[in-house]
Order: sequence, then structure tokens, then C-alpha cells
Amino acid sequence: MAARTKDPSIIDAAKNVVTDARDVFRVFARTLYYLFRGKREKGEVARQMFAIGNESLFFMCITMAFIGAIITFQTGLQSRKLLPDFSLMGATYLKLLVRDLAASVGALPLATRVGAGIAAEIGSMVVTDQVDALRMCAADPIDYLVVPRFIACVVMGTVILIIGGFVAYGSGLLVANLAFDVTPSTFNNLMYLNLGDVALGFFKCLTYGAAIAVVSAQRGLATFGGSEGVGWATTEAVVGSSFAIIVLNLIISTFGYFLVPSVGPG
Amino acid sequence: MSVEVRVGVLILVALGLLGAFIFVLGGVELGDQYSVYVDFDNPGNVQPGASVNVGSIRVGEVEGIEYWGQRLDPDTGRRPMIRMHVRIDTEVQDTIHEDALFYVTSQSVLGESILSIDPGNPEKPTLEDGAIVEGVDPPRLDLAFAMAYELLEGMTDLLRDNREDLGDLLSSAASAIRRADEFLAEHDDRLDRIMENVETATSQTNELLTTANDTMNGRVQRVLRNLDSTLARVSDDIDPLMTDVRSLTAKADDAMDALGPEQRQQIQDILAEADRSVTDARAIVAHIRSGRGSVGAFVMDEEIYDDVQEMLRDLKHNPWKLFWRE
Repeated sequence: MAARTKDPSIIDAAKNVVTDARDVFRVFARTLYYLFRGKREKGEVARQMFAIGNESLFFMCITMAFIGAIITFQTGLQSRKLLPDFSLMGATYLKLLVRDLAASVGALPLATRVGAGIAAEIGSMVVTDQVDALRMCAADPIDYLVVPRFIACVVMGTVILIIGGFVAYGSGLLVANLAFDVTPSTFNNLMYLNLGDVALGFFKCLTYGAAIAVVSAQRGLATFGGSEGVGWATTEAVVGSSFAIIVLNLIISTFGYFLVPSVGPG
Repeated sequence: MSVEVRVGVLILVALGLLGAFIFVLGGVELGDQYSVYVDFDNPGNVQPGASVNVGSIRVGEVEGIEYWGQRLDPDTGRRPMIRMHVRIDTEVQDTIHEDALFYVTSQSVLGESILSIDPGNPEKPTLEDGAIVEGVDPPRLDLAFAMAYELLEGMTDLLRDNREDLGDLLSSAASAIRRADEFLAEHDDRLDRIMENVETATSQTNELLTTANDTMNGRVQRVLRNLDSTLARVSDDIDPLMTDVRSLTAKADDAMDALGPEQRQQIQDILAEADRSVTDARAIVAHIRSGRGSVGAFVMDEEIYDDVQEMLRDLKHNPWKLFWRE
């Protein structure tokens, strides 16, 4: 893993981005390799799933509830300025939520919590030489440390984002009803949705879960410099994970626009 | 509760929510559907996957839109520009009839374009699977806007290029209106009288026309009745008359055929003699009319006529003058 300066110039920052991207792909490739070929500690995957999924549930539900309420409220306000017709608010909101917002917006707070945890945990092991000890025991840290978190993050990240999406939908429905008198039956309009939208959103959830795990693990494994380094690794894991989510969103949405037929707006 | 169970419960909850959502989302489309093909010249902004509604109820979706480019369809004999493949739920098939109207509308003012169905007359047969119907094209708002824009642009150019002329025209029109107003104000009494006269004349003309109409109607009706009667008689008599004429003509032809050349020459001679006699008679009549000769004088000269009349009257009173001359 490449070390970096704390106050890089623009050229150094660009070099760091390239180096980080290369390291991320390397970690990802080795993770996929050990996903099928490695051997993991019994119960480790379940523990990681619990930590990433169950322990994030409350935080994610609250966050997504607020996000859903805010989006619906702002949508209603802007719609009322343009045209006081809220009959398609639910259909449009559901379309955006399923196709993009539930996964992309939900993955950002998930990255802050889960990504930071993964980077801090692995980074602490790196600075306390536990990872070197694993290597001395001929155990690849990717196999023992990253793969369980990768599996947990992909599975439970998707689970959390699905639940978060439903919470956001419920809060949006509530706000639409309270603030704009949109009845639940009107709001609950699946007219613009099709299974392609659900598949696209589901694929984004899987991808973001994997990205959070890989980027955060890579930053954890690249930690240096003691406890301060762990702090930097944690920060960079959140930043890197968020950046990866946004870039992946752009790529997947672009492919999705052409590959997944869309009905209605968006 | 162990960690594995808690994790499993959360996963099951998420899978349950996702499965229910997919079921609700796809539930409408999982039922049996049948196909209808709708031809349009311009289907507006309807896209594949758009909702197909009866009223506000979704009963199907647009499966696909195919460009035909006015190629001849041998099945229908039509040349569609666009053919839309529509999938409709089988459960509503018995409510959509052969004269159903398929038209493009939108879910709301700014909503998505959808295909809407007016189900048609319930006494007509239902629309079969695979039927091809003609859709009602939506209004071409884009075309209307383009034409309106062109019109506005033309008007703008006209106003800009002829600003001075239009100004003169408007000032002239204003001046003319002002003068007309003054004229009307000045001759208000006369105009009132003129209007009254016109009204009176119109009233009298109406009365006259009414009277004439009654009179003429009676006469015309009588004439028409007489004409009808005459025509009826003529119609009754025309057939025997024509028969007689034909018979007479045939007899004349027979008689002419029976005559020999000598007799025909004699007839011609007689006719020539008659012609000459007629000519002489005409000459004599002309002579008499001119008052020449005794007869001419007696006939044409009123003085001689009066003398003769006086003489006869005198003889009536004095018959002895026949025997004794004074």
C-alpha cells in the first residue's frame, strides 16, 4: 500500500487518486479471489453482518425518514409554484426513490457509518502490527479481514438500503398527506415504475455495498502513522466511499438509462 | 436471540418488503393479456411501457411502437405511419368493443402521455385478440405552436417594416372616424327621419308584396290548374291522335304509292294551276284593297259606301223613286 503526504500538492493529489484507484482495484480483485477460494473464521461473517446491518438500522431509518420527508416537502413546494397539481407527486417520487435516491442517497450515510468503522478497525490492526502478524502466519489479511466485511457489507448494505427506501417512502407519504393534502392512495402510484427500475435500484444497492467495503478496507490497510493515521484513514475511507458511490451512480445510471427502459419522467 | 438470528430476521424483513413491492408492482401485469394493434399517423409522446387506461383505470400497457412509414398493410388495406402494440388485461376484454376509440391523452396537465380507451357500444362485438384498429391522433400542439410562431413572426416583420405606413393608416382611420362621428352628430335629426322613412317604406313594401303575393298566387294557381287539366286531356287524347296521324300518314303514303307517274304529273299540273289561280286572286284582292275598279271603290271608298247607304235609306222611305224619277 502506498504511503502519502499529509499536505499534498495538486499533482501529488492526482497521483494519490491514481494510486488509490489502482490499490482499490487490486484489493477488489483479491477480495473476489478469496471470496471463492479463501477460508474464513466461523461466525465472522455473521458478526460483521450484525455490526453493519442491525446496528446501522436505527441510524439509517432515521436518516432516510428525514431525507424522504425533506425531498417530498421540497418537491411539493416547487410543484406548487409551478403547477398546483400533486396527482403525480407520489408516482414521480417513487420513481426517483426506487431508481436512484434510496440507493444513492442512502449509501452516503451508510458509508459514513460503515466505511468509517471498517477503516478504523482495519487501520487499528495495521498500526498495531496485527496485520503483519497475520501475514507472518501466512494468512492473507484480505481473506481474513476484508472478505467477511465485503460479504456483510454487500448483503446487509443492500438490506439496509431497501429498508431505508421503504422508510423514506413512508415519510414522504406522510409529509405529502400532512403538508399538501395528497391522499395515500394518490401518493401510492406505481404508474411510472417497472421491474427494470427495481432491478436497477437493487443493482446499485449491491454495488454501493461492495464499494463501501472495498474502499474502506483499502484505506484501512493503507493506514500508517499510529492513531493519527487511523484518523486520517477513517476520514479518507468516508470521502473515498462517498466519491466512489457518486462515480458509480453516474456510471450505472448512464448504463441504466440505455439498458433499463424507463416509463414516465426520469 | 443469537446474532445469526437477528441478522436473518433483518434480511427476511428486507426480502419480504422487496418481494411484496415487486408483487404489487408487477401484479397488474402478471394477469393474462391480449394484444391489440392501433394505427396512428402521430401518436404524440406515448412511449413503450406507457399506461393504457379506461377512464382513470389502468387496464394494460403499450408493449411497443413500430414505424410503418405508410407501407401498405395487406390485412387492413391501410397505410399506417405508426403501429402501436397494446397489451390489455383479458378480464376487461368483454367491455371493449369493435367501435372502441383509442386516443392519446395525458395523466395530468403536465403528465405522461398515455393511451386511453373509450370502450364503445356494448351492443357491438368485442375486440378480438390481435385486432388492428385505427387510433385517434392527438392534436399537434407542436405544429400549432410552430404555425402560430411563424404567424407572429410575419406580423412582427410587417409591423416593423411598415411602421410609418401603419401609423399614417391609423391616423387616417382615426380622422375618418372622428369626421363620421361629427357628421352623425350634426345630422342626427335628418338621419332619424331617413331611418323612419326607410322603415315606413319597408313596411309598405312588405304589405304590397304580401297583397301581390296573394293575388299572384291565386292566378298562378289557377293557371297551373288549367295547365294541369289541359295537359291531362292532351295526355288522354295524344295516343289516339297519334294513332290517327300515323294511320293518315300511312294512307297518304299508300295513296301516293298507288298513283302512277302520269297521275302525279296531272296533280303537279293541277297544283301549278291552283298556284297561278291563287296568284291571280291575290292580285285581284290587292287591286280591290287599293280601291281601284268598281268593286274596289265600293269596298274601300267610304264615301261611295255612305252614298249607297244613303240611297238605300232614301229608297226605304220613298220606294216610289224606283219607279219615278224626280
